[in-house]
Amino acid sequence: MSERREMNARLKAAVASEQAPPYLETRIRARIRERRRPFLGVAWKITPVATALAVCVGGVIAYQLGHLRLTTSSQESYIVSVSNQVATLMRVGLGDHIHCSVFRKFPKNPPAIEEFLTKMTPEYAGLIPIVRKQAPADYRMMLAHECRYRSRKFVHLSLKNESSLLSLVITRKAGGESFRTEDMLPALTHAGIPMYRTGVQRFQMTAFETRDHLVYLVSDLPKQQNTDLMLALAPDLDNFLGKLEL
Amino acid sequence: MADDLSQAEAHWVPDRYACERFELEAMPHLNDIYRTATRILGDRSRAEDVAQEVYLQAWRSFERFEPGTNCRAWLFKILFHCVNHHRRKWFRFPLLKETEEFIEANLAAPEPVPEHLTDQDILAALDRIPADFRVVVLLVDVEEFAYKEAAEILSIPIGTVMSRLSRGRKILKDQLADVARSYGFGNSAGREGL
Repeated sequence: MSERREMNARLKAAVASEQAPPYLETRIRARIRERRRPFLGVAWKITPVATALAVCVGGVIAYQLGHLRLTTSSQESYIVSVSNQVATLMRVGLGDHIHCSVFRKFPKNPPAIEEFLTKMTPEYAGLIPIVRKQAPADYRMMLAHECRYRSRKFVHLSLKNESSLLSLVITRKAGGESFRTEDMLPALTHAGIPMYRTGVQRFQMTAFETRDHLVYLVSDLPKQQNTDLMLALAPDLDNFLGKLEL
Repeated sequence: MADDLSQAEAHWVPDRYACERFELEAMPHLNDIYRTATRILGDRSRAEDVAQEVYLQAWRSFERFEPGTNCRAWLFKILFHCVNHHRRKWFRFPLLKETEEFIEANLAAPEPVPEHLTDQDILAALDRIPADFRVVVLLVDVEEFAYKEAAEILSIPIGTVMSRLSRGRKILKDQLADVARSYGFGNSAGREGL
């Protein structure tokens, strides 16, 4: 027994003669300092899952709101789903705004006004100065053209600032279209012009009609700002279109 | 077995308290971990890497370490987990079958070991013991773990610890006797014992 104790003592002394090098302790402490994160515990472990989930949910919401629609069919399905939530005659302007402006990638530097003027028929070119005069100063004209969407011709002017996009959409009435026959009640009357208003998702619309035209202002501005802008535009637009209709 | 921690320390407190506790409870055992790793792996550089890995793993799972239990035994358990993980990568330990054959071949009549042997002779003899037996000798005879603790650290039955320890000690003694003989110390000298 004592012989074994002696052997153990010698064995321990021999093994203990090996010491960890001093730098090892320093190195370990340094590595541990780098890895303090584990003490975030469960929150740290679920962060990647939560991030992935947030991205998925964000993606789904964005898709529902019309973003990430990369194909024509998915864009069309979005227009249908949004348009179905407003009155039939309001869909006309909303559809063209989404189709032509929302899903369009505007260039960083839009063309000069002179170029827009060349793209409009002389009949409607006079709309550009009216819109430029009334639009807030920080809005730039991104688009002014005559387009066709779902077999219908439109005059379409788009303006944009850092956060908002708006469209003035004008189309000739077809087949006795009128807000009055749609049983819509005007939200207000300004300068003798009945104004119709609706909103869906982020879009706000204010519209009025002349004898031959339907005029829409569609934007992602707050409801009142959208209305105020249309109130500012409406008298000149009504006058301009009235002259065309003579 | 358990370190004597106060009731206040027995509660998990994250961040700075965790750092202090880790410093207090785990860091003092670095030499033991390193020495054992060196003897198991036979290579100081690998032993340093493994010791570092042991401490990093211990830090990562320190929130699961139950205050009041034996931190040293917990670190050794992590050590053997790391060693088992690495030994397939670095080299192969003798399988138990080979170990048994080794014992059969080496279980000659034991001879007392002279005191003239140096630490290096003893370590060299220890390193020649098959790994399965060497780790038990290291844990029980050098690190003074109880059989039960050694069994938990190595995840083997306590009976296996006892039998391996017995055989490991015997082989060590024989190895030392061989070394003594090679130095010219006979049986008479060997009776002086270690």
